[in-house]
Amino acid sequence: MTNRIEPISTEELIEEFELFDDWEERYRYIIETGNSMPPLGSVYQTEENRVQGCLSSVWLIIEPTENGRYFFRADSDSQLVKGLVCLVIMLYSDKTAEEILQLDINTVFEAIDLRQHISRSRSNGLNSMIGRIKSLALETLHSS
Amino acid sequence: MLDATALKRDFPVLQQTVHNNVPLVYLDNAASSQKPQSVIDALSKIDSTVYANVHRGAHWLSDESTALYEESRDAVAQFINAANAREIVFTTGTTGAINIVARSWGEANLQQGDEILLTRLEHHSNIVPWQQLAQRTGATLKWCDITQDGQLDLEDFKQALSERTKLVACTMASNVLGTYTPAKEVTELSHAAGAVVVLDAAQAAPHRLLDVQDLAADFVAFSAHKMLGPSGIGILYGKESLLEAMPPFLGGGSMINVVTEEGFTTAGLPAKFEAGTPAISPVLALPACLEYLQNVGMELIQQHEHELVSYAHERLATLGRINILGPEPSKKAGVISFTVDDLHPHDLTHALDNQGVAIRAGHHCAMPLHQRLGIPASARASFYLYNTRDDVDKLVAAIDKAIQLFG
Repeated sequence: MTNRIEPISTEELIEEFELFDDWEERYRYIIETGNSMPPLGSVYQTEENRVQGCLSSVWLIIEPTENGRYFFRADSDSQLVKGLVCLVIMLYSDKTAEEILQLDINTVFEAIDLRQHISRSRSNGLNSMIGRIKSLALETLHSS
Repeated sequence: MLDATALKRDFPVLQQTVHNNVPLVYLDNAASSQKPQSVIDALSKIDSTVYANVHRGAHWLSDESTALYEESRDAVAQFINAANAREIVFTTGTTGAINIVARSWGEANLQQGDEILLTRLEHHSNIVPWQQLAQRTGATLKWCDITQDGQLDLEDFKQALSERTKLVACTMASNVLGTYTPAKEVTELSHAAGAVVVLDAAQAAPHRLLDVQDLAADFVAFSAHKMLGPSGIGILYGKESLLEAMPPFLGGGSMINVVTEEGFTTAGLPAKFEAGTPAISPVLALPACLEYLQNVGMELIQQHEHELVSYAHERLATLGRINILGPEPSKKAGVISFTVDDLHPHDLTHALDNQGVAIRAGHHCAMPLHQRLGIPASARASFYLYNTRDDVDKLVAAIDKAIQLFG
């Protein structure tokens, strides 16, 4: 298995963002977080893995483990979206389908003042990516 | 000279701060413009005094509002120098106007083997209706290319034009590159070839004098919301003889004379193309927009935007890593589109937004143009009469900061 993204709890993430005074500090953290995520090789940047966004693209690979937990790998052509995608992945990683569905990502993004990035659903692939993860979780729950 | 700083005070939206108390710098005018207090007041006054359905009631309010509705039509006819107000059709917007031509004129006049000639500068609104028409009629689409610097390639246009060309669809100003096209020459050449011309004036009518008789135009489409007015209404200018011969497109109330169980007879111009209850208050408020523009002066507006876009070219070039798209400032409207090396347009606009600078990023509803330019997306700043040199300075400073931040 390739190097996985270190999971983070919603509390930890919110605490992290409390340290920042302005948008520049928040953006710098997001950009650095995105940079820490190993890029997906071009072989993985396929149409199948692509989550449609109007302006930027997200590629997402979902990796379920044998014990019913999920890990993810992802990339984006936008540095900002890549960072945001990485935050989402950190929140969802090492969780079960049920835990993924319980996580209220809107509230978390609201708390860290990034709500606009997931409400502007058409401009980036982030919202569609969250949708894809949730529907897979839902499918898994229903089929089990 | 136009005093943009003074004009800006007429626009309440522009007095605001956004995010955490950052002054708003609105540079997304090609998407939609803002409204001056006089237009806001006009809308409010209409709804508080004369609002009623038009062309229907035999009562005082309806008579008042119908009279004003037709006065708006007169005001538009005068604004674009139409021969008479019967040539002015109120629509839902530029898109709605072009679709009327495609549905009504197009289906009545095109058949297999005919050609529709488009330019690579077009907005999707002046592409997709023709693609749909081609699908329905079996006509084929031809594309007129652009020059290296993003101007309409007139030589290529002449080459592409033939006796098979029945319709030419051409923008008057590109919503991405700002390029003004030689609309008069395009019209002359098209007429000589026997083709009818549809001019998309969405980015031209708000910014410069528009004289449909001087252009010898067949059809011209534009929107109120890009010229200080409300969204939801647009104008289709059509030469009377063309409109007269066209079948109605939407069926319903207002567009008929008599309806029986056996059928209907069509109303005359322009009612024939205005089925259903229109956007009454926005139409009634239109004279307030046109009056504001005419008081400032269309020539002065064009000159002011030219000065701003020239200044923006100059200032942006000092940043490095910036690639400005399209021709030199003298060839274009107040629009400047660009890319920044190694900086995604999405990241750029979000960084700018946090600094209060509103621009647009993406394909700007012109994907074929971006394909032609070989780029997936671009960033666009677009100016209007209330923008100042200070706005340009803030734009440049904000881009500089974005470049530092994203590295």
